[in-house]
Amino acid sequence: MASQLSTKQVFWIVLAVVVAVLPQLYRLPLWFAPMMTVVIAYRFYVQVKHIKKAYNIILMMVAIAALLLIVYSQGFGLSREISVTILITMTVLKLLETYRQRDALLVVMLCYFVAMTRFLYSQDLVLVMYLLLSAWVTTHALAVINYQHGSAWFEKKQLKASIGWLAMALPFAVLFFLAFPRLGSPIWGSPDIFGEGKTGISDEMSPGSIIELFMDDSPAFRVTFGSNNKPENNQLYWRGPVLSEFDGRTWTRHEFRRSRGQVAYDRQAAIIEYGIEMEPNGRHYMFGLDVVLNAPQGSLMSPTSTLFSMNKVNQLKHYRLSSAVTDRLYQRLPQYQRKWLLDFPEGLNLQTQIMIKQWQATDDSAYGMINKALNWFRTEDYLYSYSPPALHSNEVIDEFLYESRRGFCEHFASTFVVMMRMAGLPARVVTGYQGGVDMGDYVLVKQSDAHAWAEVYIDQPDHELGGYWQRVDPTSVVSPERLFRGSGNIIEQRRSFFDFPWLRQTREHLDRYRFRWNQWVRDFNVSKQQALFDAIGIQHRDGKVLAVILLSVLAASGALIFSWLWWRQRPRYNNLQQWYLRFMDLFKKEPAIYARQSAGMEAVTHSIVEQYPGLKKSVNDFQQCYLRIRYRNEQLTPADRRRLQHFFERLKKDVKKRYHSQSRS
Amino acid sequence: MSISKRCSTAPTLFKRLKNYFINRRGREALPVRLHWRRLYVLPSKPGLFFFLIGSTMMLAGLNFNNNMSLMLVFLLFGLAQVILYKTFFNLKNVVIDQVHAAPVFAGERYTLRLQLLAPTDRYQIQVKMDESVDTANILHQSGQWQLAADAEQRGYQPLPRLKLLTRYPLGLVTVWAYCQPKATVLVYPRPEQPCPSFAHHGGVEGPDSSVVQGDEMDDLRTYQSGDPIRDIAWKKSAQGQGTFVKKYHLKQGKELCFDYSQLNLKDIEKRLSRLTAWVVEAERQTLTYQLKLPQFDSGMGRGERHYHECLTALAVFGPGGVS
Repeated sequence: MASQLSTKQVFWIVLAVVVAVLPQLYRLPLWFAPMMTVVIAYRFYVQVKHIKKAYNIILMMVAIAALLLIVYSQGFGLSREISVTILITMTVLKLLETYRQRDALLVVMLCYFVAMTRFLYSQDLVLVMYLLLSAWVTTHALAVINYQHGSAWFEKKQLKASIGWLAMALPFAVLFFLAFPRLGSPIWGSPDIFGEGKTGISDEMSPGSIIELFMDDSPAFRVTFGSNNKPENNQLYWRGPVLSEFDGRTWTRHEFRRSRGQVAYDRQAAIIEYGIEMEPNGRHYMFGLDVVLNAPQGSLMSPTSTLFSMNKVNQLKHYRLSSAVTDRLYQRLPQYQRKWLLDFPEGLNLQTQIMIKQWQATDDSAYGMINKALNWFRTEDYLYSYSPPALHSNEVIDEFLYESRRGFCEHFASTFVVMMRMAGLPARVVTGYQGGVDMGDYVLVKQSDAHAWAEVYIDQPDHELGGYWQRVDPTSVVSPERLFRGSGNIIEQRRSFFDFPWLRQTREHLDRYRFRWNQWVRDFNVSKQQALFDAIGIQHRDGKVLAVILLSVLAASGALIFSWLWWRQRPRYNNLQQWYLRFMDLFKKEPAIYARQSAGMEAVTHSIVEQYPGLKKSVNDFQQCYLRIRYRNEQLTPADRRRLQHFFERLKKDVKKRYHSQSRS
Repeated sequence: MSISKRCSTAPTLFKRLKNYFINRRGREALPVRLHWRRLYVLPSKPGLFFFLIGSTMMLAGLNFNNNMSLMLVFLLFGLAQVILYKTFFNLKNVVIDQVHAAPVFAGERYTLRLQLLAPTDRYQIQVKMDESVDTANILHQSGQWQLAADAEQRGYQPLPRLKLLTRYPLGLVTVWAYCQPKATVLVYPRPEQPCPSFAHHGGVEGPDSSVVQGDEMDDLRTYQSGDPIRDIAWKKSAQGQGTFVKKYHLKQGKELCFDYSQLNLKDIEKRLSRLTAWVVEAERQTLTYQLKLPQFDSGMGRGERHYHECLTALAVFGPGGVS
């Protein structure tokens, strides 16, 4: 069977598929893009050359081969990745057997589904715009499959019509979106499986691992402070995972099986409350301003003061926190923990160990050590740089301190903590974010604000908790501006080819809309719906009320669309046509005459005169007046109108008279 | 085979009730305006698939509380609503203005020309008559359709039921309406084939016509059923080699007479069929002819008008022709 579709139809079907699949291409296996190109090229070749459809058995083999490839590259199982990949692959392969209108409709409708699956990964504002475009292209493809208004590939009239339908559908969509009941928790599958995962800070740190985050300007979270209590930028340390185990190269996190015990902080420290809207990171960490006082609901506070969510953060997450803005947290340090926190590879980095020994000889106090180390970083020429030379040897500390001397936060933090441990002070690396862009009513923290700093435990025997954790940020002495201006703004060197200041600023500016978008649309849930219903005065939300609301939405939007369409398609007559209609109206009760309306003025007058010779004069007068104006082919002038009116009135009177005489006789 | 015929052979109760309901308006005089009350609306097969996909998407969106998916789904449902009205308005207020079918002979197919009117442009309106389908648009307030059907019986035959259907613009919804126009198609009797030779039914003999009445073989022809008995050449036939009738030499200007009562055939339809064949043949040869039926006499004549008069009389003759 050769194709029953026109080349234009095939073009639109392919376009709909391509537009729907494109935003997912990045996460599909490598072979997908070439396969899609081949399929599309083949489909067009077949169309142009009028080649028959391939045998079903061959198509079946192709489908099975594609399935095997999916299993090979993504594994076997019922996960989001695999099911979405299968859906997309089969949609693209379906093009091979799209020869009839029926199949074409099927493929194009599947495009809606494919477009939707992209939302499972991200609901970003820009993406939403793109997917609206996709819905438009798909709808237009449907229209073209059904009927082609013209031969042009982009028929303006039809394109406008399809966008018009979507625009008319919008009020319904918005109202239904607001009123439709939501589920509090998923019926099937956990949100861990299906969610918008994205990489953020990980629970490991080896030289160079944070560098990827520096390249990423996407938002990590947004913070809304109360009125005017936003701390200075250099105090914005957003605490994430704490890494305390070091194998000479990589830092890892210690798993605690309990929550934080008793802590204390300086009485002078300011306590601030704020809300965080966290972008999904596909992990359990949550971030908070150092030091967080209490864990919000649904999360745990580990002994290292890091917040952990019960579920993976796979969707936009909102929580409120209160923090003490201080760099000192009193906490008991058990003996077994102290042992880990002093651990470092004994046989390595001997040069550094010797230097520490020398420092210890002059001043053995904790603060003496810290200051010596910070002074060392400040006075020796260390450089803050995004592109430090890679560290290859086993002795990364020695290599960094004495050879490369260039690095960023993770190098400084890591080296500093090892130095402190060598000096016999318990210390650990804290990862998280530092700073943020003030957007007016909220603070935007981007992935590129990722940071690492150090914490040293200082013994204070006279305190009831025996000591405190002191935050030390060695990066701040190397590059003090880092804390005020953010990492992206202090280095001249471009991070990537597309790294321009104006682009960065535009993105930051766009984030304002994203924030609103998140607040109003993306994060609309059961509780916000409840608040909305309360606001418009609907207190009880049982099934009956809800059904009434939904039905009335349906009826209201239906009435809206109906009246709009009815108004749009009403017949539009010019002035003269309206006179003709008024004329015909006089004979509404005469089926024999009225039925001839479409035959034209002459025919109608003829049949009137035939039936009622008495009306001959007035009818003919009107007809002549009408026809003269009609064939003059000009606009009606006021004089014309007067004349028509005059003859019309006379005719009307005669017709009425005739009815009277009929009823009398 | 027409729908009505199929139904009459196997009339299930449901089909009878359905047809009764559809045909409840009876035959309607044209023009007929398709008022919204006579439009039927149901989702089409692609429409059901659209709904299925939408429901699946909605389940996924609800389960994972994915607001944008839900928004897209509701947008699609809104779209379906818009399309429903769009399709409805595409057929509403369409006027079936006139139908016309040129007369044909029974056993041939006739072409029905249909004109629809609408105040605004309408697209992709399908008109179905039995198995014949035609799709066209109403542009500039009118549109023409052409349908074909078999003419089976002679006479003024009523038109089958028309079905007007549209799925424009997206094919998600089908809107349709039925109409039985009070119009007929004239079907002439089926002419006998091959055309038998003309018989002598009297008629006015021209001055130079000569009737050869002899027993020579040349002047005789074999008997064909329906020949008048008085023309039989008895002597020749008695020889036992078949039945022969006297042959008449026809010359230009001969005026023929075809008389129903002189035909020696039992079946009325066969008589009409023979007469039709003669009329057609005589008209083709541009001869002058006269057709005599009980209660009809065409008089001598020829030409288009005479021809149709004769054929119409044949079509509506007697009990077979419905008028």
